[in-house]
Amino acid sequence: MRMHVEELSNGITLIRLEGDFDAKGAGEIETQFAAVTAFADKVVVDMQGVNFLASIGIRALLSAVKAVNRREGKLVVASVKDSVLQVLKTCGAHGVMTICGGLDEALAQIA
Amino acid sequence: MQALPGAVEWALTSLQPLDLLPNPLLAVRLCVEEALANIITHGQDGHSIRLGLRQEEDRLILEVEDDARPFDPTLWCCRAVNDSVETASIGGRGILLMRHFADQMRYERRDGRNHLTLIFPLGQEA
Repeated sequence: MRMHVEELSNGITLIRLEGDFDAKGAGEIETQFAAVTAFADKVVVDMQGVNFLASIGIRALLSAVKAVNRREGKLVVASVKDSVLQVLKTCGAHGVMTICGGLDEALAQIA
Repeated sequence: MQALPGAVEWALTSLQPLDLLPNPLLAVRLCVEEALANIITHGQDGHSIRLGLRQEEDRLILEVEDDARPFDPTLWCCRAVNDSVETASIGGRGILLMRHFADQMRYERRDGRNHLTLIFPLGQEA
């Protein structure tokens, strides 16, 4: 799994994830993902490149949402594929995170 | 958790000849991942895990066997808390996913081992 971090000029941290967010994928990015979301206040996680999500990935996402939220920041998830959204909905995690259809919508929401 | 990616990889390779449609493939893959993660998370000490996949007519049967401490996921009360960001459960969602994505889930403790059987219908988009 790959993770690309971009600091946008308006103070937004854009994290682009690519690959399968399973045990292998989570193991590859979890340290960096937790480190970035431990300090950023406005975070957009672009999931366009994520084809598969398991509970270990949901755990990482929810931990990040909580960490950002505790600092009164905001984390928005964008561009979630249907199969990934199905997993989020099945376990109820979609109800406690902000999910936007596209990246532009997510950036507008968090700006 | 180090053995998990290799076991999931094996399961995915075993599934390839079946040429599953996207939804059954997602269901089986997710359940393999969650069942193995569950054993590793709840099993504490080092243990052996056996994983079997077989096709029976129009269904696929996934059997997961381990010698970890007894754990029956079919009895697990897995209502993840989703009331708010602050109180939301971080974990406890894997069994919820297995219950949803498998058509049937059976558990048996036999000969000192946990036997979990998950059954999936084949050949149809869920």
